[in-house]
Amino acid sequence: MQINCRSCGKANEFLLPLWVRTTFKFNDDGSLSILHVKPLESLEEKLTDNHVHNELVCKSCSSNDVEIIFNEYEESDKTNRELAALEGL
Amino acid sequence: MICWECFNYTYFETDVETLKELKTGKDGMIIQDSMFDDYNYSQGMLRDNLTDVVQYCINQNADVLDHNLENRYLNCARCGSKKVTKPYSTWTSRRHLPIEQEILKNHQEFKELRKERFNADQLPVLWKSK
Ligand SMILES: [Zn+2]
Ligand SMILES: [Zn+2]
Repeated sequence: MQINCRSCGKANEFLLPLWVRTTFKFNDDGSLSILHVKPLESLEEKLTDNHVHNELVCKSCSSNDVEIIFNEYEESDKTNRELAALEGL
Repeated sequence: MICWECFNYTYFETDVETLKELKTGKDGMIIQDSMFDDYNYSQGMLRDNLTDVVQYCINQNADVLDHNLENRYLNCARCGSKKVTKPYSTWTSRRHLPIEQEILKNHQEFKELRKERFNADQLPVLWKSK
């Protein structure tokens, strides 16, 4: 998988929001301490989801004009499977 | 805040948004905390958002409760209940006496309190500095 920024074209760092469930406690002085953090969504699943385009932001130029390119081997693998399916007919 | 199911007032849970950084390169993709110089932005954002939601729940105590009087943001980390409010919420105040009755009931206590204040500067001097 490759991610490109269409705006600056050269960035390789991107930011993606993520919801987490946080367990915390109130300290005696009223401050908060974090006890546990658990992701509520999988980033991998999020990335393969089409809606993620709207949420990905380029770290260097802050643009959200970002494209995700899935690996070529995934494409060729699909083609191979299609060929195999044809041969099976 | 207090949980009205188990009376825990220390441990709670909430959902907050943070940011992760995706770094793409020859070796594939790395997911990590986002750093700006020495500052861990992912962790800073998590802490800030946590503080915000907790402060909001404290300040807008009645507004964050739904029609079942359950907290829309916080739940108890001990028993899981969402019946979480400030200790002196409108929800519990329904058990209170009408104010006139409460004043009447506490009348003696109030008289003592006022007497103490009235006499505060009239205590006998037990010793004097030389
Ligand atoms: Zn960019
Ligand atoms: Zn509880």
